[in-house]
Amino acid sequence: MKKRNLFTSALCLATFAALPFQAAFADDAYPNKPIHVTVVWPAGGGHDLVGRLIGHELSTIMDTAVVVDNVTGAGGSTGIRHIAKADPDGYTIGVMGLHAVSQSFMNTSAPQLDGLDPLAYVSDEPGALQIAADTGIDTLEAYVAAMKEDPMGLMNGNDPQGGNSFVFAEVIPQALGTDMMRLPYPGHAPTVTALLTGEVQTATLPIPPILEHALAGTINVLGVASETRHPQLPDVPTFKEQGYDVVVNDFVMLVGPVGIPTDIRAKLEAGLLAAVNSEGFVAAAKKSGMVLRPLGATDAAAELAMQQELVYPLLENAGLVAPELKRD
Amino acid sequence: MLLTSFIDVLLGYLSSPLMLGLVVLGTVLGLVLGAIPGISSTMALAILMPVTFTMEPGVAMLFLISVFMSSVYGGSISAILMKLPGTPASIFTQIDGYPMAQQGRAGHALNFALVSSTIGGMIGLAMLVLLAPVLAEFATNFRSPEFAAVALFGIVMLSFSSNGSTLVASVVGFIGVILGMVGFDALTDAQRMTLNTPMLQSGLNLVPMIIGLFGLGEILQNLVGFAQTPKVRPQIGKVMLPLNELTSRWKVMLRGSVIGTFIGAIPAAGSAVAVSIAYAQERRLSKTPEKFGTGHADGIVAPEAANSASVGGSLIPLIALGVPGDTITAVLMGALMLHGLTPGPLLFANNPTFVAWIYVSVLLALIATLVVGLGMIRAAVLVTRIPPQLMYVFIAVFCVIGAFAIRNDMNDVYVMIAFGVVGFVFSRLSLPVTPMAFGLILGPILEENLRRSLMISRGSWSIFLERPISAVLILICVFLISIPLLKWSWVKLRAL
Repeated sequence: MKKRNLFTSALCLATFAALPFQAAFADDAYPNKPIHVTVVWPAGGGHDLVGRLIGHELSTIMDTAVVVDNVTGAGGSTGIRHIAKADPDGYTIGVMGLHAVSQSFMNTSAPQLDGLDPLAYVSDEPGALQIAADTGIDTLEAYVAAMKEDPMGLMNGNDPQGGNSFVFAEVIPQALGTDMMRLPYPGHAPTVTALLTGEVQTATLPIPPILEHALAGTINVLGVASETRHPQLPDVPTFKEQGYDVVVNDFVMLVGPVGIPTDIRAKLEAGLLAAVNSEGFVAAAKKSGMVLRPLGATDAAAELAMQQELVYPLLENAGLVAPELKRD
Repeated sequence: MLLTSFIDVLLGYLSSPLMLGLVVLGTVLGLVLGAIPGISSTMALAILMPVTFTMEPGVAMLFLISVFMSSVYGGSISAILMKLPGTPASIFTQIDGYPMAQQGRAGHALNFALVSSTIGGMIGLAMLVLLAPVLAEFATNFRSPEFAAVALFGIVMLSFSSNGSTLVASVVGFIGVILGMVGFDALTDAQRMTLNTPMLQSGLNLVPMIIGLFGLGEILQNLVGFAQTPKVRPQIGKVMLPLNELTSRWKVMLRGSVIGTFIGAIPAAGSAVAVSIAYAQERRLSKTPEKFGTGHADGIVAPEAANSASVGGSLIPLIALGVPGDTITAVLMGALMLHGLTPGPLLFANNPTFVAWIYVSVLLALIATLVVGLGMIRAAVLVTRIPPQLMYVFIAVFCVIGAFAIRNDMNDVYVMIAFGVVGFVFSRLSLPVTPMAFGLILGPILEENLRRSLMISRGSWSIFLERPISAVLILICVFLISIPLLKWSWVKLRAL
């Protein structure tokens, strides 16, 4: 019995003794331990896919393990806070989109965006308007006519306030001069299901979740809210082509906490850009319907600032900006 | 056409040692990951997805489906041995599984779970193969009013979910419903009962609450008076089950499987709903409802058959419509996209071989889970031989890990501890905690769909009666509630 205790304590001591060595080894050049990519939505969604695909490429490029952490909840705020509060050592980065911008205006407890440092811009996710094929409507013109006749005739499925398809559902009807009855669904997958089962007739989702259904002909895409046509749906005209001046998009970018040392930040930015431009990522992303537009850190920051200016008035008009966060 | 390609693929897989090896590897990984509390089937798949990057699509599918199927049973192992559900699908297994293990019948409990999982899975698969188009049709009729009616049905069933007073069960269930509202409202993102704190904004996640209520609550309960009367370790007992114990429960298995498949087929309903309704249903039909919760085999068989059957069910909308049935199939869909096969109506129409891959993969995964699972039972039951004082420490550690891992959020650990105290206080006061689990699972579903239905009908409640499925469900609810009244009137009438 005594012998066993001796052994146990020796083992414990050895373990503790080894701890500082681990730290000592860690002084080498960046990166020398796993990089954590925070995804603020649950496993299986669009952001999760981006995080895992980029993580896979990044691990080869930077020659270190990359771990994806799904830190979810509170409309994405919990995950964004996790990124903003992380040690700025280059080992915690995250995937973010429009939701963080909306939350920063709507939710007083959500982290403000000045706590985040954009590292690379990945893609645009243009808004679009879809309609179930069995409504028989296949042109924007026919849709606008139908909505003018009976504004409550067709119901639209979209996110709760602040989600990208909610923002699209605010902006697109304004440009079309129509009204819209909006039914909220918690996420894109339930919205697609509602559109397919006929609970709603239209939706304002971005292209990736409905791409296959559009190709199969069960859903008609009436217009895309971007400057150019969507690469995966070249036959669908933009709203601009059809005479309605509306351009609105969500985005995917990679961010880290503010204060990453300059040399590490540069390495990280270069690695992320290489990952976004890698053959494997480009092929997979295109197939899933993403519109890649890889940009470096400076341009990503400019895009983020632009999105803030776009979203603020929308949320303010809808009465969603929290009183404490109102601009003068 | 489908049958021939099914047999072709099956023979192809069976004759390849690589494929069989992958099935076994996937099964072992799924069992282990599923058994770790906090790693749900969804996360097990997400974690192992990168492993399949370099595989052929069919091979990747086989591997991932093996992980998926076996993780469903894996979750039950920790539920039975430690009263900690490894996955949300196993939250009802512990209610009878853990007492059975404490009575020295851990092997039996695991066997019941494993065999009914396998049979449930087979029935789910058979229904997937034979009835996919019909069930898909049924599933597309499920819109917000039907969802609301199902959730209502489940909540009515909760009064059958525990021993003792129905009133008490209903009140506890109602507390569960209210707790399910904490956080961001699903339809408007408005905050409710958050006290404007980041911690409560994340909402109270189901898994940490269940781990706290059942796992930590149980430890605290055991620690009371532990010093005076140390608990004895339960005997391992016989591991193998007499066959007749299983065959005599064929009805329970069948009912659980059918419920599981149907609920699994409804997009977004998920296995937690399937197990809660299957458990309550069985308890209601049972001749000995008071035995539930004390280590009754039916209480393990019904939810286990249901959670495995819901796997087959959840693949139905994926194959027939191209929409994922739940979060787990959503991850599978993500994996397919990585392999250049974006699921959707086109993929399945143009690639019948692909559908055959999925069917064969589910079949092989079920068989592998049974074989590997049976082999592991002997080793797994040794867990019950660990001295209690050590075991409680292990369970406490797993409670913390499990609560944290579900969302990588420390707040969930605090929630777990708080609910551990709640679970302890409840058991001291002899209040049932099971109805709270029902409220937590079904409350948010009811609320979201009720509100959306009323938005669609512009405030008219008649929407629930105009649609046949919801009308029938609501009539059943009314009937269930009025049974005591009917019984009473019957007795009075007879006395006249």
